[in-house]
Amino acid sequence: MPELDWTTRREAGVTLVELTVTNDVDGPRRVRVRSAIPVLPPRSDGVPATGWTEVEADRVAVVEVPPGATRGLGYASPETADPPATLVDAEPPEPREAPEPVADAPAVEQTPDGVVRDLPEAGPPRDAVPPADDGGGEAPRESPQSGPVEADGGAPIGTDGPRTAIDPTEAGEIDDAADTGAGPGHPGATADTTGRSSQPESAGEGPDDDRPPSRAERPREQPDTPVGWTWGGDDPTDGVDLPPTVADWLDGVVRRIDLAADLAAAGGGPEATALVAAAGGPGAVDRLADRVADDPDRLRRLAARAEELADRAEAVAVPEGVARRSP
Amino acid sequence: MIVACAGGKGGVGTSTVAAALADRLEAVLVETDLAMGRAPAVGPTVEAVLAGRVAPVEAVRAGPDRHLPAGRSLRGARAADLRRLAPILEELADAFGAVVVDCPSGLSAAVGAPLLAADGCVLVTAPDEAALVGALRVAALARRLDAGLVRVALVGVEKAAPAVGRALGAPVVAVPTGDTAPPSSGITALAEAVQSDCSSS
Repeated sequence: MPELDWTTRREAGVTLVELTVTNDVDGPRRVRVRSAIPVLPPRSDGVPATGWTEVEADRVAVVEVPPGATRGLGYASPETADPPATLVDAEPPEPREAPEPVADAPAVEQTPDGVVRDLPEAGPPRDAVPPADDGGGEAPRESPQSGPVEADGGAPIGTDGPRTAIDPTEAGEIDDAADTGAGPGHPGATADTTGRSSQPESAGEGPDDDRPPSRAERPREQPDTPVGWTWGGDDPTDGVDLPPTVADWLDGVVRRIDLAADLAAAGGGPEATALVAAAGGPGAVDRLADRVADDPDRLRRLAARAEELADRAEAVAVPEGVARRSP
Repeated sequence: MIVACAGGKGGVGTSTVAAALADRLEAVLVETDLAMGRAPAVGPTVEAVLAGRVAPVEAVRAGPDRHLPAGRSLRGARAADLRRLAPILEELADAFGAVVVDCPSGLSAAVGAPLLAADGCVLVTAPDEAALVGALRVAALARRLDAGLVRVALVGVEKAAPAVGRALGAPVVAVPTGDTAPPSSGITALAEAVQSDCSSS
């Protein structure tokens, strides 16, 4: 009969359970283990990890152990028990057709859950992207660059390119921008400033052009850096857990503003043609124009409503003890 | 009919071939390179559809012609659920007749989910070692996920190289450099093969 061993430790209000199952017989065994406490299984991209997908309502997990081998199983639980789990039974696994050997195929289950769980996450690797708020409650990390870039009130909201793409020679000029009173509250003035720090004293007294720089004028991103990331930057909603619909609407606004600015900057000629084509053709650009015309009014009305609600929320307070006093 | 285009290695021309093939088949072109859209999306993105916020057919109608692009927001990508991709692609195929999926490079879930859903797969590669290694890995993933390999699009050559086809497990179609606009014979050959091999599904 296979042996079950365990260790538990308590951390941050949760019990972490580590089980090992050792198979000391000659053949493989399919071992069922029942937890005495509620199970929070390990997850990969939100999907319970392989083996845990079979956890039944009565907290049973299944693990296959080859002869003479040991396998581990881990989970978390809000409660504690000693022992945390017990062996239910251990049967020889049902005979299965050997799968066709496929050269170099990743071990992935042929289901939607399997694909999401067993293959790498879609999207850029996290290491390639500086820490940023994604509206999902991720705490924004302090980074050495976050100070100067915040002070760079000139960068439009949803500024393009990761921080690493900023030309280091601009660093000194960015610091000068701090003297103009730029800071977290500054984004409201972005429409008037001239973008990156090539004109650090820009807030108001910049040179001739007072439009945000187009993507073509911004410092070139490195070749394999994706263009046009939207994330916090100097955005007042940084660190705020916005509902996805709101966050997406704001992202859409930023995209429209950027695209309209690029089209304006491109004037006529091949760059404009390319932009129009990339946007989806003249029809899409007409629709864009309409939406860009509507956006300011909607945004200002939303801002006014949000201000009003903020004032009301600040002024009201739930009386202490009211929940206990009422019958 | 749902066709996935994948290359394994980036930069071989997967997106170009996918777009040309979608055009030729009058299919909807869906990108799954989450958060890595190549241009700012004017209409709804594939991430929004995968997050359940926009209905698939509505998203395609609201955006540029028969194109459901990827967006450029990390937040959007994190909300997207690739487990929903198969029913979304099926709905689009029912409404519009055919869907071509432009898969990103690599072997991520953004490649696996389309392969799982597809009736067939076109592998895109180039005649260099790195590209072929990438294609071999995607071919293995496609077989594991039961996505029939229909053809290999060998980009940048004038004539097909049968040895490549044997290594990857599907006949080769040559797509010479720059020759993807109509009446490209390479794209036509791919379209015909796809229609004959996949439409019965």
